Amino acid sequence: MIQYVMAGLAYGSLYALLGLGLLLTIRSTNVLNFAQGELSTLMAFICFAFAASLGWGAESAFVGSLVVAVIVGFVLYNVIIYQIRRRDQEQLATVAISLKLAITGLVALYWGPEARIFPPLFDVQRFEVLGTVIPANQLWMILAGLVGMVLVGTFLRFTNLGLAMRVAAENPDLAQLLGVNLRVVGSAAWVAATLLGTVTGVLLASSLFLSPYMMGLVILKAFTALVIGGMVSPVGVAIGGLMLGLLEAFVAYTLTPLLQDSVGLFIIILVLLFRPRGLFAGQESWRA
Amino acid sequence: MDSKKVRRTFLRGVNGSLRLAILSAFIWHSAATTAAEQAPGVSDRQILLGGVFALTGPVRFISLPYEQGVSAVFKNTNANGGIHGRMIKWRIEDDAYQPARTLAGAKKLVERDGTFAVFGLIGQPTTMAVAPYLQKMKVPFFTLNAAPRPLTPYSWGTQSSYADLSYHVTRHMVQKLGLKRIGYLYQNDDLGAVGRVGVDRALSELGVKLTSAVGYERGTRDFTTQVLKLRDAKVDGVVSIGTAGSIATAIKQGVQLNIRPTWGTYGVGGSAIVRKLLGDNINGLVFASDIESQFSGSPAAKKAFAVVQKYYPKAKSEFTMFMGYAQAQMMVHVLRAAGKDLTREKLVAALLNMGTYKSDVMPMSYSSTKHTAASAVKIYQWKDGKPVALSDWLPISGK
Repeated sequence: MIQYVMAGLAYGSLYALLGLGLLLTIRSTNVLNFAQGELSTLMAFICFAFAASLGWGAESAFVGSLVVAVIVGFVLYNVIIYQIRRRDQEQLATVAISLKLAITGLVALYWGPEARIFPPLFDVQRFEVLGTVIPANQLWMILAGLVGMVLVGTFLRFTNLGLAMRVAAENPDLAQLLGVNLRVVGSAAWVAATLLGTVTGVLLASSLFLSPYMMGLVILKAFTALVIGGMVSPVGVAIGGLMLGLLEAFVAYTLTPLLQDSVGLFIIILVLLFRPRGLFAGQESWRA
Repeated sequence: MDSKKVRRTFLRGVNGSLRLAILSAFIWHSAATTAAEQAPGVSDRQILLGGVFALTGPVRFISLPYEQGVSAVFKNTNANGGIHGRMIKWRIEDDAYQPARTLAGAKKLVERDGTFAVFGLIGQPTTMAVAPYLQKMKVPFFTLNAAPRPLTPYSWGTQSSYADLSYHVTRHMVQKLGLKRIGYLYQNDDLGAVGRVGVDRALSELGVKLTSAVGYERGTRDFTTQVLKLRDAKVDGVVSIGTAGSIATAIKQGVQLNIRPTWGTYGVGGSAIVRKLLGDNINGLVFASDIESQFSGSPAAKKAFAVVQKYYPKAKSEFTMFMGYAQAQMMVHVLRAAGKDLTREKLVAALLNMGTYKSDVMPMSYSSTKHTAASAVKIYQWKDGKPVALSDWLPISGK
């Protein structure tokens, strides 16, 4: 039972991290980033390239990919998203979908479609706690999830940029009147989302195999976390992600693993039917 | 005589001669063509075969070795005089593993290029997309997969069905390896259902019950809960019929959880991609293959790879390469048997009467009731990074 719970928490943490990335971009720039999963995949491949092609150590490769993530997020927002926002806001969803397809295609074209081994990030493969084996990957996923959630919450609540982001999300016109630079806010959101995606992609590739198609269902579950949070509350998104992971594990343990991937879809339908503002409606929105 | 009149007469004469020459040339060409072209795609010098499979897209890593295997055999045959003096020309259309494109490619080959036969189809859905058309056009076609149903004189397959493969690997795991509690990890679609047929048949014959069947949806990337479920059922052996990626991931995640049953699967367990993904974790994996393992180091495997490398020095060994190699050897064999006066009807007759044929790397047979070539499987197990044969060729029905 403990192993199911740990698996649920591990994947729930990934859903939460990706969900937070989606939340930042939609609240700050009004873009539902359908390409969030593919960005994670791209950054995982970049980490892989640093390690496999340039011979960097795992830690250096990971840090290097975070640096590249900052650049990618910044460029993506300023060169594509911001320019289109200025001209035609309604095309943003189309742009996000196009980005999704383009990134997958480019990754498959450059690195090939087949799966490959991701360089091991950790020396230890598994831990044994009170006689129960826990894969090291899962513990790192849970830790990364906790750190990511705390960092995002702290950023939004206690930094000037975070405050600016929250104001801009509530009322962009008012924010501008107050001197908030919306372009800076948007850039920060996309950089943060890409960083969160990088962590998710690298951890997932460590657990499975690296492939252009590895995000598949994972990003769908991040959307579920977003819906649970009402597309408003970071706390809601984080809890939503963890809840989904645990529910999936519960269904797999008590019924059958065949149904676990459907859990997220059922939740989306239920939430949209009965609580369309999310399970955390009533909370002050965009409050970390 | 008036000069103009002379010129007119001369030109009339020239025109007349010219027309006569052109007409003669046309008559001669038609006669020559009729004599030389006995059937579509067949001339005195050439047999034109057409294939439709992925030259681009995610399955290219399977189809490229296949293409190299087939092409090497054809080139080698041509280098040794061809078939009754005719060279084999193999023209390929790209379907990118999309059935609609497979059909378009097949039509192009048959109606525009006039190929003698469609040789080279890869994939169940793509084969099924063209089967009715090619049967209607009475064009023999050869797929890497099992022959599509219903059997017709024109449809010919290669690989055994997953039911036969799962049957043999399950039987071996219980009977020879002494495993008592067998689990089945399956993809929740036709692939998993067909594999289950073989598993159930083997267990039923041996008087053993299936301990646990755990499924996953196509597209699943993580197998943690599936592996835990199998562990909870206390299985000591797991048979899985799925993609290379899913089998490799399940084994890898089992190792991460220190769950290590004996895994059994079909020929994909001997593929280069699974070996690459699993590394040392591949040791212990059992697989049933209807073709000699390319890693076995056997004289047959070495010979086959040497032939391919002669024409493709950078080729990487893969089980689909050997499949293509065997299929092409069989094709050369039946084309020869069909005789110099080659027609599609004679090719079909040669196939129906082929009986047993042992290519370098695969026992094959065709008959009026058996249109899937694979006639036997061998059981291998990975040990110290190499597949070791645990059995000789075991016969399969392979209808």
